[in-house]
Amino acid sequence: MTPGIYTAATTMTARAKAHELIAQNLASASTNGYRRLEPHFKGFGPGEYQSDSDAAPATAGGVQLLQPVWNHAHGMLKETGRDLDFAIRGEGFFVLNGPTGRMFTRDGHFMRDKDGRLVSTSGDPVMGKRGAIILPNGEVSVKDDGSIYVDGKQVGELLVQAPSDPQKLESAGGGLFRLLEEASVRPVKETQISNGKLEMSNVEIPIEMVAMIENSRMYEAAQRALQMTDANIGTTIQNLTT
Amino acid sequence: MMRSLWASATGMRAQQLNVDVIANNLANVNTTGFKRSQALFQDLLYERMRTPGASSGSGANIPTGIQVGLGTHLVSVSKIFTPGKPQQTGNELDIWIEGDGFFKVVKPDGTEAYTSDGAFRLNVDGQVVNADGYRLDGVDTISVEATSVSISPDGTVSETVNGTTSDKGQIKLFRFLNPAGLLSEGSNLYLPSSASGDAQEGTAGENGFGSLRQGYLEMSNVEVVTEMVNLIVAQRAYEVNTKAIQASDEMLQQANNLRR
Repeated sequence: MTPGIYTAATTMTARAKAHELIAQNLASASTNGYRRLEPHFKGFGPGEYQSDSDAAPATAGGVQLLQPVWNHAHGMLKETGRDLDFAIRGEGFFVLNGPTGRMFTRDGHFMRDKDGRLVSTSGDPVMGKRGAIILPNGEVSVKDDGSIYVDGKQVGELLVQAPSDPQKLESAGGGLFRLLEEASVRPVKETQISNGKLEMSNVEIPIEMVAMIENSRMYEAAQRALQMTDANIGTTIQNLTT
Repeated sequence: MMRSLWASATGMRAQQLNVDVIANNLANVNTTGFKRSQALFQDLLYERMRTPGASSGSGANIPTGIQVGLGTHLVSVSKIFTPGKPQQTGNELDIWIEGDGFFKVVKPDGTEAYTSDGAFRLNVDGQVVNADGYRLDGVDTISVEATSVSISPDGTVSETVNGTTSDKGQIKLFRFLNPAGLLSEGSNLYLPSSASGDAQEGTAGENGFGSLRQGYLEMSNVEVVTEMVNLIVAQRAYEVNTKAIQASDEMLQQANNLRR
């Protein structure tokens, strides 16, 4: 009778992890360039539990959360009118030269540092096709292909790259991504870059709320199943011992 | 899982987009030559549990079947090209198309765009340009000495210098088989697409093209009352979808509490 408890417990564990993902999506609903994470579940039979850390429970089966999937649907553009806010239409990411290596982001809220370099909010230089981009003072404009002009004079070209597999990314927080080790990048096609706008998060609150309702009810159902199995075991023990 | 939860979520998403469209219309209530957009929805796929017309066990035909819908989605946001009301401005380069047609403007890089916004001005070179500096097609450079510029209903432009009037080209109008298929570029400009068909050139006042009126501007065709009504409907539709989600949630709770 005990496997029933573990089966219900695997569902509860999976749903609790999914809850974290949904909460993260909701928390990032106003993070520019954020990409929502989608939980996916997989049922498994006896002995099929794939665990990396937990001791494999002795179950007859159950449910587990698979590696979450990035949803790369475009977020809406927000008109800001600020000339150092850049947005990408189409695939690809801006590339930042972070302290721990290359980072990728759709959040084009950039600024000048003290040397006139174009940097992200965390101070990491934004990569151009030929290294960092130095911006003299003046009005910044950008063409569809990412070439940047200051007062009509070209000063550099924004680098936009896409991972060969859009799922081979890990979050580095705040709308930033790191490439997983086995992945590579490729140049992008038919991508338009403009300034004066920012791409918002692609999280839609109603969708996340519904996902959360569904998820908590599924958690609740599994919890009930566990309680009932437990009550059955308790009754059996009492009957046998009196 | 319950279909209703996700069907209602698609309903909320659709109404959110609907409100986005209405808000854009309202934001442009005062934009010269603006054409309002309208969102159109379609039902999503149906889950067919029992096909209508299938034969039942006894050999009879099932008259209706069971088909459960999975929600709604937005299929089109298209421009409604009804005319806006004219407003007299007195500016001699404000031009109103009284009827059908678009102006053609040429950008500095040579690409062309179409607009119904007739607010033109002169630039330093004497060219007739729109607010973004794009040149109105078909009109020659106006001389510095010109004291007045006049535009006849058929689009003929003439300038007066020292009392003598000379011809300065003709404003052509353009129309499209399916104007709702035009690409909206922003800045009151439209671009042809494979859905709109190519631009057809014509003369103002002929073959169904509108004639031109100097000194007037076409206002936005947004009507505040209509938009407000649409807004109320959209907001209520959004609200009722949240109610359906709450009902589904309570049903799940009740199912979970069947045995306490």
